Amino acid sequence: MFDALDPLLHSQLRLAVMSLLMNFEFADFTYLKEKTGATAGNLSVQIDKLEKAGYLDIEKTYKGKRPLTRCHITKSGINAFETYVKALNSYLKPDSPS
Amino acid sequence: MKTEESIQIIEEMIATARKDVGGDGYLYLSWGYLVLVSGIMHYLLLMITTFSMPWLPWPILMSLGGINQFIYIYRQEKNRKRSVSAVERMLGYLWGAVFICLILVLGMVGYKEFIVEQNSQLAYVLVLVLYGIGTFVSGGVLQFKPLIFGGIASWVIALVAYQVSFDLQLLLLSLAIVVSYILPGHLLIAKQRQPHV
Repeated sequence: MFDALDPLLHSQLRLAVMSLLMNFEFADFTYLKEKTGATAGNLSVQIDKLEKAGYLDIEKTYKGKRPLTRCHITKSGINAFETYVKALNSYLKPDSPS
Repeated sequence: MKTEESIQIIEEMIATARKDVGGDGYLYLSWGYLVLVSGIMHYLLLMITTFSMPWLPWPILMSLGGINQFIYIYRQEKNRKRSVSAVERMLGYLWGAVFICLILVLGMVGYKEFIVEQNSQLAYVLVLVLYGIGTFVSGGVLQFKPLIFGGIASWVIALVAYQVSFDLQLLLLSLAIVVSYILPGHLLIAKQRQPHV
């Protein structure tokens, strides 16, 4: 039986952001923008959605006069990502126990 | 979005992140070459001159290395190094610890042997052992075999160095630096420049 895929993660950009953040303690908005190739506007909307779901913490500060937005993945974000990957596996290997 | 696409995105982002995680080939190389030049200069000053402080290239070039590292990190900071991983933090602490131990070893054993006794048996052997720890652990954390082998090579060379005279120790130190720092440093840079899958 297939596990349900978290609709919040089952989107290209949000999944890319979460996959990146799984590797880092934090990443800046500009880093995420560069690595995902997203526009600033779209990325901003998507990380807001992830933050509202409790998957990310967003920290807005200033470095000198420049605004600095840092994203950290939360515990519930890590759990959601792992559950998503498990669900993906159940699609790829439908016979294996999930 | 198809499940295959999801997997492809996850794999691509992990590959991208891995390229950015730790393992700065430039720093390995700059320190490697500075230590190599210091070792060879020390050897040459010792063997072909009567200069009373043949070890002088060490404090001079190591200070230059420290300044170079400071400027490099400051520039990275200025360019807003934009992500930090647990691996990078761990490597920072590891090399910080190795560096402090090197200063302690050279400060205590080195002072006694180079300045007081004018002859050294143990100082460079300990330096090699400490380098070995740094490169071996870095290689393990980064899953980069040339650094792991480089670390082991440093320890083997340390064993040999303990048995030979001080002038030969200097040449062995230079050999260890080529094997454990310079070669892996070049390979690491080459790996980082490869386009990710």
